[in-house]
Amino acid sequence: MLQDQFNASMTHVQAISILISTFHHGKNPLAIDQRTFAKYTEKTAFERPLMSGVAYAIRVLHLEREKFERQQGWSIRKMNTVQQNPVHKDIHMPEKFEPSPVQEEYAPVILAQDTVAHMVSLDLLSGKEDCDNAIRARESGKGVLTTPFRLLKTNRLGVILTFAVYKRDLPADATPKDRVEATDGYLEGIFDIESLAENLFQQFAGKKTILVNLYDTTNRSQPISMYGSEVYVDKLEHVIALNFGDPLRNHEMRCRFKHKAPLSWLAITTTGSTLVITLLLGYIVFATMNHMAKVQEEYNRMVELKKKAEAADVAKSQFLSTVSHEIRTPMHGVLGILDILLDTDLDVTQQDHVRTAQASGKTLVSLLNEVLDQAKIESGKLDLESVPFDLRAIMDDVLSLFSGKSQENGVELAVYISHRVPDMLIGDPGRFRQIITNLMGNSIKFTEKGHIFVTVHLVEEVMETTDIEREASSRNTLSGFPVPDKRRSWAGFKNIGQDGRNCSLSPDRISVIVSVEDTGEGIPQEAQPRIFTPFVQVGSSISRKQAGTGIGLSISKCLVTLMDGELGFVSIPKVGSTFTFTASFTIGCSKQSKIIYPEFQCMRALVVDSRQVRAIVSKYHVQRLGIQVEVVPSLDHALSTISIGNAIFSMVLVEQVVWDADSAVSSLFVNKLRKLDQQLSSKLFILANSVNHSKKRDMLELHGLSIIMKPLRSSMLAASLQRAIGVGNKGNLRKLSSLSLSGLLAGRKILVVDDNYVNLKVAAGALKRYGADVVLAESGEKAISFLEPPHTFDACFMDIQMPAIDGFEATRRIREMEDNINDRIQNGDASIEACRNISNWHVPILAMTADVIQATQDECIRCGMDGYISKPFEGEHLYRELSRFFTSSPLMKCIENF
Amino acid sequence: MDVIQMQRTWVEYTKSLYREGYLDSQFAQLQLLQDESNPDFVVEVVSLFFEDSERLLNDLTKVIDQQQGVDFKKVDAHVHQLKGSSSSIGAQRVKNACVAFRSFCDEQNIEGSLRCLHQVKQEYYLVKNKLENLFSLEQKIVAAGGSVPVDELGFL
Repeated sequence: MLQDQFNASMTHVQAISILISTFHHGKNPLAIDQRTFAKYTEKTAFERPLMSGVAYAIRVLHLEREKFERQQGWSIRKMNTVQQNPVHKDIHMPEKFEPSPVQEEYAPVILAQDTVAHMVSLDLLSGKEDCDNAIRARESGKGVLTTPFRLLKTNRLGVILTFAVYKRDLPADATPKDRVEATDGYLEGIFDIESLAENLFQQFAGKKTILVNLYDTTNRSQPISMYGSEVYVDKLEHVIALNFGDPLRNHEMRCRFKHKAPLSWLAITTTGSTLVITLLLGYIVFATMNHMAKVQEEYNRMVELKKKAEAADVAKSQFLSTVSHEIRTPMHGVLGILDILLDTDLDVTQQDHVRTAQASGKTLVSLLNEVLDQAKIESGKLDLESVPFDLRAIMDDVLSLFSGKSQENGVELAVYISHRVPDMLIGDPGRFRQIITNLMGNSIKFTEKGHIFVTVHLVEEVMETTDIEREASSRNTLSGFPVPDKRRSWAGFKNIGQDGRNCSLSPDRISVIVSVEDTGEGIPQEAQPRIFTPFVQVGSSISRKQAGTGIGLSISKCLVTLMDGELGFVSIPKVGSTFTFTASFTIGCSKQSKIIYPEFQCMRALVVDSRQVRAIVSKYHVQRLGIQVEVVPSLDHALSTISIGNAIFSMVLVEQVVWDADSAVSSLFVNKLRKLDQQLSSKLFILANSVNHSKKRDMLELHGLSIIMKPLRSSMLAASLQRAIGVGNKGNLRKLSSLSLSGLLAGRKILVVDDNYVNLKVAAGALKRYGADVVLAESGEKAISFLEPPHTFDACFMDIQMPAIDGFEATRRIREMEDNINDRIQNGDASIEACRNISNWHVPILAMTADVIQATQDECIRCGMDGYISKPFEGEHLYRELSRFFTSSPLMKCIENF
Repeated sequence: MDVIQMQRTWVEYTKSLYREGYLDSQFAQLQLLQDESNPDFVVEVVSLFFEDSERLLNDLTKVIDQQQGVDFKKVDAHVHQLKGSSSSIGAQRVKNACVAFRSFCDEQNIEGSLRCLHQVKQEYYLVKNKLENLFSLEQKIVAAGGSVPVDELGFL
């Protein structure tokens, strides 16, 4: 507090100095005279709590002395030496001051606060303390303090603060010489420390039980006492260093108790007990403090550790991502070279070695990809795509991936997708596939018997009990093995409300729920909480048996979260596990046509299966081909259904288990069926799960039965059915589209115009393949001459970019010719007979173009073309465009009626 | 090598051509167009492509080497042809090189065009070499009494 007040006083003195330099100097007549100054300083005395007065002295050189003295009306006087002398001098007698002797310069006080009015006309430079101070102040440009000394008049101990006032603003780095020259005068503040500090110290010295001494300790060995008497050495002294802003002087405040406590028994006992209590309290406080300090320390250490851990985690992710990436690149090199190596002449052993190396390399790359995924997810760098995809096709793909393994193990693998799930969804098919593949991969690894069953529903469906759900109660499962209640796998999901609806979804978004159910080993109870932690594998014995990083589930969980979904599971050791996840997608437009199997439309199939869940799956897959399905539980039922003859069946699909149950019944069934319906008996299929019993297989084929291997997938099922029924020779998918295209193109005469021979050849090859009669033209001119009516062409495929006459121009000219002849026919100028009885000539012209820019398409239409087909030819697009102009050709009609 | 071994090699080799981007699905389409009635379709088309491309590349080299200014219109027309035929047979990398080439033609950038010509040639000879290997393998298979296992290219 003392220091605060001191600083405030000092600041204000400095303010006055600035005031003076602003208003006093350079003003003529002077803006401030003694009266104004006295008044101002008195009124602002509260600003300088420790100061008894301020005075301003002007710098006068000897040359100016006379003039100055004349102006002021008094002569400059010398200070008495008394002030340096500590000897008493009670009464101040200004008259005693003698006129100042001749000096080089003087500093007479011209303005003074009333309290120090006696100083007016005294030469500051004549007093030792003041002189030192003034010189130091003007050289440093800062406030300086004197050593404490006896003041004039009061003769009390005081300190003088001096500020120099300059004629002009000086730069901060002005040399002392510059400063001396610029000096205009000195402002002094007088601290009467003794009197003023007394009040102050008493405030905190309380009832005088504490004594305060103030020392000037600039000279360490001989401190000068500034305040307080009774100097005696006491150990209980508290020393505070004070800083009054003058770097050359140190001050110190020493506090101690004034009195020693009187001794008395009561006092002693009281003191004793108090001491004990105090000690105890002290100890408690000490212990508490100690404990708090410890806790604080621990906490700090924890914070530090947490920071380190977080940094390490980031570093780990970065490391993983960098390292995986860096390894992946050379690995691709290795794989590439292995590929090349395979192309060279190798003997069987060498080939085998290279293949092994390649397989290992690929495993390593896929592992790295997983690690990279994990790192990407952890560093938040993984973004999902948003493209249209067919969920059913993806499931078929994944199924085919695992079909080999499941057939080997005799594990039944099946997929069921609810019809309420839209055909096209918009999302990230790759990542969706990754999740499914991961979950199914786990199931395949750990399942040796029974089944793996993947179901896809809309989230709102799972609450309403669907047919598949009802059947899938714990005993009635796909393979008959018990499974855990899958409901429990999504019990923890937050987004599935009571009604199963996800309220947060906008109307064009849907949430699907996918369950992967297996009858495998299950996950041990104690390992269940940890399975989503990266790199954690369940049970050492299992992990020994099965390879993997244990990273897949953690990635899957992250991916599911990115798809606004949740992943959960239920698992019972030795029974099986069910993993369920939800994911939300935007509903895609179903314009992208599904693969259509026109040859299956209007067919009916009879599925014979005793187990309902399995039957529903079979039914679902057969229905996907466009075939209507009826399910019966046994062969006897099948016979009676067929013999009643309400509906005509095109095929019968029998579950292998039903067929194998009793060979006598089966044989009987075949015989009876032959009698009943010769044609149908040749379309008998066995839905088989395992190829292991090759003997049985031979026997089945002996019976003239076809085998369809599970897992059922639409493309595979279609191929099997086609092969057996005789649609298409090899009965696979691409033959299908060629079949329907053949229907459109067979026997048609088509002109293909392109200036590029290779293109011509390819286009011709494609069209010939579908049975078309193709004529080639390599320029626009030739095309025009070919298409001059009357002609026999059914359509023209025209390249756009050709030299000389391009496709647009050629089309325009052809249309002109057509209009011309149509006019003439109408006017009777040309006989319709001469024009092949066609009254309105308009040959469909389709542009062949590689670019599908809208502008090009518009231009096609503008010049009279009927449409465009993308180059290179793509079956589906060709079919779509052509179907607008052609109805089925006669050839196709035969096929439809087979 | 026995037939089965050769067939397997053929499948692997074809797959590697797709994987490394030499060929795209258009070549697969060509393979599908080949059947009993048209057994040499692919070889025919590809031979035509070889002839055509070599003629075009020769012409291109001449046009670009012309001292008194390069006729970029001509260059562009040739490259367009080459792009068309390479995309027709599915020679993907040649096609891509042509796309880059055409953009330099638009800029009338001689230096870039020269570089692209070099690139196109390189890609062309690469794919030619690969395809010739493939065909000779096919011939060996057929000579050994086997058939080219197009159906085993499962990813088509």
